[in-house]
Amino acid sequence: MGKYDATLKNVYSIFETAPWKAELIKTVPNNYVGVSKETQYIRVSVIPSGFGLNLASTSGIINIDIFIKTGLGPGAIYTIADRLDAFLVGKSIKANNCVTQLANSSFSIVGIDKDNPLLFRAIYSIPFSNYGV
Amino acid sequence: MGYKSLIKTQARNAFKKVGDLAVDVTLSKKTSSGFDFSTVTATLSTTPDIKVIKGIVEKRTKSSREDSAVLLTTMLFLSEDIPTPTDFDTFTFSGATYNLDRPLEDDGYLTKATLIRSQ
Repeated sequence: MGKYDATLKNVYSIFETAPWKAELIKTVPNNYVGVSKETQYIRVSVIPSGFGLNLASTSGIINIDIFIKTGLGPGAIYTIADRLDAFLVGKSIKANNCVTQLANSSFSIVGIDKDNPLLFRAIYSIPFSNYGV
Repeated sequence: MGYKSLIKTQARNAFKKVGDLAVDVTLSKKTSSGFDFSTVTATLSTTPDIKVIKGIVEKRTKSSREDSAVLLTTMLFLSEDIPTPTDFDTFTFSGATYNLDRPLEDDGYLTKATLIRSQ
């Protein structure tokens, strides 16, 4: 398995765990359709845009779009960001012949989504490094 | 008979009266039941709901999307034939299969859909 596929699978594995599913936050990856009726969900994008320690390693950022219902204040975004922190910040995933380490997070408010004005959007970001051998 | 029923009946009659201007379109409806993050795959229904409906081709446009050419076909359907269109639906007619593009206009009686396929 290559470094990109391994990185993706390592990060995605967090969102398939029972504890994450118990958070009841609808979670989808990028390039996925089927959330048109949702009023609150997150969309996970793993972007390995940086260089790694060696040729089998990579680094980059995980961008998570947080969508909540427009007009009800931003509180839900902050709550979801804190729940994401609990599962992602400082975590290390050892699988698929590599180790994916996640750093600290940040988020920014985007505003009303241009594609669906019923949703209010924020972007939660967390850098990662993936170490392969 | 109320106005709604009257208009729906007239819309159905219009599709009959145009004869072979209305072509047979095989509509295959699939639904997404979720995404599995452990296998990194979207799960689609394995047995699509298939039915043959009538559609009237309004226009065809050849367009470019980045580095590929696509064929856009605008078609009219009876709204009752495609009540809940989704991005997973496919439309097959004249030997080719199309997906649903934007925009989709539905006045409750007729639906004008833009269908797309790579060329």
